[in-house]
Amino acid sequence: EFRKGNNKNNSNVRIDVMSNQQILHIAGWNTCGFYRRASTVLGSLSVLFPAKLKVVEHSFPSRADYRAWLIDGNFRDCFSDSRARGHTASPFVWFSGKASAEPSKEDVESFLGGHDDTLEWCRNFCSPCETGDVEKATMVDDGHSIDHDYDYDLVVIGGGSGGLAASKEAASLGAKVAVLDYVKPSPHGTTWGLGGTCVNVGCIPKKLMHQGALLNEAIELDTGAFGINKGDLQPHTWEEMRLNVQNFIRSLNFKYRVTLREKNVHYLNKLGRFIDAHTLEVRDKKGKVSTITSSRFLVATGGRPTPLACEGGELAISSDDIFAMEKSPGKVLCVGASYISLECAGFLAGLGHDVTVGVRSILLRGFDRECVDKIGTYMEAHNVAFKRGVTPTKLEKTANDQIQVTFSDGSQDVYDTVLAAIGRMADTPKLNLEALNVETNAKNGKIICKYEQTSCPNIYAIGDVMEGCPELTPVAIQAGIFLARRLFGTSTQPMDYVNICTTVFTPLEYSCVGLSEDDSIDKFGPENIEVYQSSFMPLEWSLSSARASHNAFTKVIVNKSDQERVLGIHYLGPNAGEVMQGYGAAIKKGLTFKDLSETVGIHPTSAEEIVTLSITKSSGADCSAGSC
Amino acid sequence: SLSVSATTTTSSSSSQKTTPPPSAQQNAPPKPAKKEDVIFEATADQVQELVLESPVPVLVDVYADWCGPCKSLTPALEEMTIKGGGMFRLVKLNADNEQSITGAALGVRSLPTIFAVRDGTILNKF
Repeated sequence: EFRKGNNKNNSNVRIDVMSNQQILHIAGWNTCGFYRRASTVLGSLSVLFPAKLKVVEHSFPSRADYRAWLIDGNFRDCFSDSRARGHTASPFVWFSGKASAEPSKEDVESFLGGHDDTLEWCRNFCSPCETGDVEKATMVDDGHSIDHDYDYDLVVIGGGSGGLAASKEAASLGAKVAVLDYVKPSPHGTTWGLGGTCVNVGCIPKKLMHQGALLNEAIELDTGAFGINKGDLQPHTWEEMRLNVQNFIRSLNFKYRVTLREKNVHYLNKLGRFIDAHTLEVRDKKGKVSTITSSRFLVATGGRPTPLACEGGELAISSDDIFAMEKSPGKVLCVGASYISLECAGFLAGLGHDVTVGVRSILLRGFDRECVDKIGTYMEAHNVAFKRGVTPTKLEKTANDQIQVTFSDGSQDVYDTVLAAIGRMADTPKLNLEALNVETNAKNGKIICKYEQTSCPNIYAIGDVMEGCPELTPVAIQAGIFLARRLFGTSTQPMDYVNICTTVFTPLEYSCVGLSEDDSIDKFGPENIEVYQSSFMPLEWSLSSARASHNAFTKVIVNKSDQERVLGIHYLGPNAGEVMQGYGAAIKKGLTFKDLSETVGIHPTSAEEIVTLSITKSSGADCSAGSC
Repeated sequence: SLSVSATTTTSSSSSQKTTPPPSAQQNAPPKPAKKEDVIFEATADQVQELVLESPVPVLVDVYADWCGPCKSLTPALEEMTIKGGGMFRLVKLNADNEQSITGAALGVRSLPTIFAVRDGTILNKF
């Protein structure tokens, strides 16, 4: 984006990165109204700002001559952008490094567009930026040129949320793209199809099983009060749920294969390993080895569960296995206090299993402490046993095929299934990144990047495999799309990793956006922080006597030194994900507490509690909501 | 190679012999055929023999194990095929296992997908 003039008084004005002169070419036929309009506007700008803009006009005597040059003469095919290749109208406007009087196929840089795109670009050229500095993602030149002779423009390693999104976007911008996806079976032999962690062993099956648990809970706790006769309820059938969840996942795998084909992305079910910066050795299921070459690579291999290191640790399964277990998991020990452990423990307990969570220190590290405590309390009241301050030291198989676990405090217990959810490691060990000097974090294997570019310029990384990327599907997707646009389009927009909404699907669901209370205090000082909070009973739960102690909770943290700017919003209650989504957009636009309190609530909902907050933590007043 | 042009005419330019259209008058329903004579589970490399070179018209049923609607449709197709007494065949293709044919070649986008093939040409599909 361009900024007009030099406002020397405002020290926050950044010197425009594009202070060098830009050269724009505009071609059209000389009586075409759109061509004349666009070239008039461009002409005026180049007269007003000759140091910033030079315009070269190419006017054809007739529509036929113009189309002969553009289409038959293949000028538009000099551009890799699919918009340019499909452009038939007049004018045709592009950036070039040279101001040659005749259109030169060798000197094209990128395609701007037609009449409308040109006028929009001119408006941006003239108008000052309203929201201050716009960060540009300045990546290192990786030497990519349109006329390389590698097999592909881009090879994406990993067909998960990030990899698939990036590959489709790159292909739509004209790049020749391949996606490698290959699932190394879990230690227990579980494997799955195209789509990555989220689709196969993450978000999708997790949310479905969580939904199953919520249904079960609603039937147990709520139906009576509404006069619904739940009859003689049979215990949960694990096998039925597992079959339907797995069938749904397979249908998604199928859909992804169809979509890749339709978007012209080559799908290779092969495992890749770098030989050099442009060459990948690939191996298929049968062990057959070949090589493929590419101008650019995108590593989107994600992560895999960290195994239990103690004696007998191999007896434990992981989240890779739980959603496909053929027999009911029975009595379960979940080792770990991450959201994976708690979400699994939560739905298992909700479906009637005997569940224990083994926690080494604190629950849900990184999340707001007050909210996490409430999650723990709720789960304890919901048939989840917690063993705190312990780790498993030994696992052994018993005579009747169960697992006896010995803990670090000496206690022992027997379980049917032990689920190890103690962390995830980046799936980089077999890629041979060391040979390319790609910098990784030694502790977790994650790749260190700037603007998703690694220390080897033509190799990029997004998603869970990238250091500093929140391990969330939508983050990987958006980062992948933005990167594809920067690599094969004209974008300079960086990915924004701040203020991302997230939800933990524990039995009491928790969603948040922005900072936790502790991080807010650390960053701005306790004197600058105010917390508005409310503890309330969702209307849907009010009739059920069994839920009398199930309070929901919400709080908003604001910065008193900046017009009560909202730093973080936290919500514990039903439909947490649905409640929080819109606030992500509001925070992006600089939401203040005043904006929130002037928003009229939707009644009766739980979401309206957020816009009717009034009681502050500092006042010491009781924040339990009374009746309306 | 598989001919993928969809046409609704019954004329055929292939060198295979053409099948006569079913006669309009049937005095009695045909005798039910034996399942193994008219219903086939095919792999990609059997398509040439079972489908393209079939002496009778073929319904190709592209399905998958995880597909609910397929579980309803396939038995119905099988029943009709047996009742048809050999007038036409049913050839089943598993979309997960035979991606080389069902993916790029046949362009199957959703399941189930049924093709009607006669004399080596796809006449119709749904």
